Amino acid sequence: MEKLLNEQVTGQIREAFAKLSNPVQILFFGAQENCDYCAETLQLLTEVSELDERINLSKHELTANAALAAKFQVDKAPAIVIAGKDGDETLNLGIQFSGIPAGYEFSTLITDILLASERNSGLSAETREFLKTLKEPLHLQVFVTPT
Amino acid sequence: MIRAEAVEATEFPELANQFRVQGVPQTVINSGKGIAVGAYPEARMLAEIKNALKN
Repeated sequence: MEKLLNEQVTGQIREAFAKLSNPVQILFFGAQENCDYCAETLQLLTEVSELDERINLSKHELTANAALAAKFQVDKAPAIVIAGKDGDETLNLGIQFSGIPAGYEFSTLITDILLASERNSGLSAETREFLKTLKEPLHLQVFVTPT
Repeated sequence: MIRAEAVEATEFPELANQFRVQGVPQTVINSGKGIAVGAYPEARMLAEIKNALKN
């Protein structure tokens, strides 16, 4: 299959990934049916993960791997979970994509990988203090489009 | 405890319609308890989240 990322883009990503501190685990969730962008999303993630050995990619299926999907609260396909990796342990950082991270959202994907590696949200002290006091789960869905 | 999900609106039109997404970005807090249309700076988003959790 033809590559989705050209050499200029892969060069920029390699440069950004040179600063990675901790390994990152990317979980891809696909589905057999009604998933127009599953193949393309998986190819995109494969090409990204091949750019640095600290980026690990695992492939899963929404129904066949239902327990894992539930653990990461994934309910759509394609879905991407950007997690930390500590030895054999996967650290759920609560970062996920539903749908293909194409166009403008591709840079969001790369930024999320860098964040997951640093394990630092970059949020202010005030925000962090408030988030520590949460008594119920907080789910933020940011609707985006590739253009 | 905290889950941040980027949703590609054109791939999930039913969900986008449910929350009346007309422009992006639009942030939906806890399935509609709060909605932030546009790109909010951190402090304003925090205020919006606090407000949504009170409901």
